[in-house]
Amino acid sequence: MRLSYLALVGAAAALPLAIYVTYTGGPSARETATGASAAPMEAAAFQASPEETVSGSHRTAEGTDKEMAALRKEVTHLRAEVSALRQQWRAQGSRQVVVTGEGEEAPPHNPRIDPAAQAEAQRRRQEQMAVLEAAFRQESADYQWSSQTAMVVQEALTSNETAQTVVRNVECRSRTCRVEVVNDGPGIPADFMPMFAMQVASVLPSITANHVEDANGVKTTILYLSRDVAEPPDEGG
Amino acid sequence: LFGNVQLSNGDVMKSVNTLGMILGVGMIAALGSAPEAYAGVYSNHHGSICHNSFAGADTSLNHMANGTQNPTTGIAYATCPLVRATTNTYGALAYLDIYNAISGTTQCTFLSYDYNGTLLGSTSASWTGTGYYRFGLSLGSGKSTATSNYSVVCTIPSNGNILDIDLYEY
Repeated sequence: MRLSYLALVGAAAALPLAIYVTYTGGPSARETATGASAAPMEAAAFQASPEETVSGSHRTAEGTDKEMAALRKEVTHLRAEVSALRQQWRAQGSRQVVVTGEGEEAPPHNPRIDPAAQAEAQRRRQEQMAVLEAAFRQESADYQWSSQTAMVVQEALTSNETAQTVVRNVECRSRTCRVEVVNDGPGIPADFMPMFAMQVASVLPSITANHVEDANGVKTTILYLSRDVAEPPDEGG
Repeated sequence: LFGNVQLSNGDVMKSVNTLGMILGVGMIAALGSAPEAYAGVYSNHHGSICHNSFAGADTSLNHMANGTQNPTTGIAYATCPLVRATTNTYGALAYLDIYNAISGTTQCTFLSYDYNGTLLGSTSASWTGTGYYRFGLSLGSGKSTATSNYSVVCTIPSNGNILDIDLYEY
């Protein structure tokens, strides 16, 4: 009996609320639909003037009309923003579009996500690697040094099972060794390179790596191991 | 020379890079392949940022208020990530402050990897002795890009310490 009474009272209270939500959307329903970040903008739209403020049972037909007008205005504004963003996206092709809110500054230029900057960096590095390759080809041969040093390199490479299977060629001259590694399979394990660098550091303290891909898509890493190392300058100077 | 330059768009970057290229070539010509010590963007990295290089050795290093210490009786491998302060591309210098409580050899390699995980280059140096020592490692411009990541990997002897790392980016 008492339970039935409570159910009746609950239903009576819920009915006006259901009508309110159905016809107006209700503030909480709108917030859920548009996300929390839209709430401040909506608050500004609905509280621009005291007479536009709506709350519960004081809502009038005039208030609802004003609310609808504000919503239409907001939708028009959002459509314009989306259109502008679409144009920006088309203009930039596949480049990332940075969307910022009002008053926010775009993040500083990040070359990691800028294809043009990456292409330029790649071009510049290939120029440097071409110079390095040419210098190696012109380097004179020192039989004693090259044979001893090649042995150190081979020993360091054989300390890792994977590394020794992917090394294609080791060639030493008088100051530099050139090591070719096929990168199509497992390649040189990431944790091996620092260890390898330390193992050969006593004779070849400097390593420069170049990553190339031939016309058939075969990827190769070329390591230039040099006995010449740029001495860090005296900090006192 | 190139310090504190904020790159806000491609044109500015191009201008800065062109200026940097001209000055960099002149600098290399004047000083061999080593850039001038205080010309780059400077940042200091606390020694306690160094971690064990390999899994399974998590307890072999102490991370102290004055750096990372190897308290064991054997050598320990440590990797120290260096957060870059600029996108300059003309190489970098790392100066390590170390302390060996007992005589031992500290060997370190300064590595540069590109954003996609490929190795660009490395340079190594070592020191054997007791007490405080500071040594430098220089990466040339061919080993660095705007998007490369820097780290230092060291073998720390028993009772050895990495106190801090000074990084200069060019």
